[in-house]
Amino acid sequence: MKNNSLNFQMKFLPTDIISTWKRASLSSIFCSSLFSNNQQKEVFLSNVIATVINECLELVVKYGAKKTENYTLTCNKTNNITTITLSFFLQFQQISLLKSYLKKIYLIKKNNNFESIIFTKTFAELGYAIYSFIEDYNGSIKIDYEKKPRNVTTILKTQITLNLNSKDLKNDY
Amino acid sequence: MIVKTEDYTINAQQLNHVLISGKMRLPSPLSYEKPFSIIKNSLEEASDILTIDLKDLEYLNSSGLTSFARIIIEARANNKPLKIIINKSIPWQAKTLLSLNKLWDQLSFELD
Repeated sequence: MKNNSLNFQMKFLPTDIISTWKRASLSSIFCSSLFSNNQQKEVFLSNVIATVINECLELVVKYGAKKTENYTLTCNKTNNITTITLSFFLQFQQISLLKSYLKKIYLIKKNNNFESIIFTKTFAELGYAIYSFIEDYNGSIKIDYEKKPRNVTTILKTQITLNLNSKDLKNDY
Repeated sequence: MIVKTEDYTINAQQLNHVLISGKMRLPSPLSYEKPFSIIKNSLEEASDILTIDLKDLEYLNSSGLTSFARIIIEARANNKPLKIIINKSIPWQAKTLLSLNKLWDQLSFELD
């Protein structure tokens, strides 16, 4: 392990997390502590990463399909860039909704229309987290899926990639 | 009124004051309705600024943040002043909760 580079991958069954919901919290704290070790902004980075991982785990537990398949959470850090990649299964319909929701949030950020996030119906619980991630931490989010779907209910292997630059993590309060 | 679970406590026994502590990670905004009804009741009954003390709240997931933001909008609609005490040593609190003033510029904060 080098001080400026760190990678790890966690494989898990979402059903394990459903049965013991607290594992999501413990896993995220463990990952973030490991990940932010030797960082100048250790506590701040750890807290942000723990929050992001928590939200990722909650997302897959709630919306993921094929809950008996292995999902993976991968973290890479090179210099200032932290990348968290979540690989799991989603119905194409959910992917489309998530992608359009993401576009909407970028638009809300652009138009400074924060309040409209609070009352959305689909993925209502995610709105604030995504907004905060891109607005407060200047993070970026990308959603990819492995192949063309046959119909809206097709289950696809999905990858969500989150990028954070530790230079943007400022204690400005 | 007080709600105490293994993970969190919401204590509204004192007039104009609500204390939330622990970790809240309920699965949806809907599931926050019941525990947060205590805050709504306190808001209705408040005779002065309602203080919501979050300094011992270690974690609140996005469902909780969304529900909390809805309470702020309700306070704004009823012109009920709110003060939120946040813990500056818990980074997500300061960073994320302070952004709630986008919902209501009369929302006041105290950093502990």
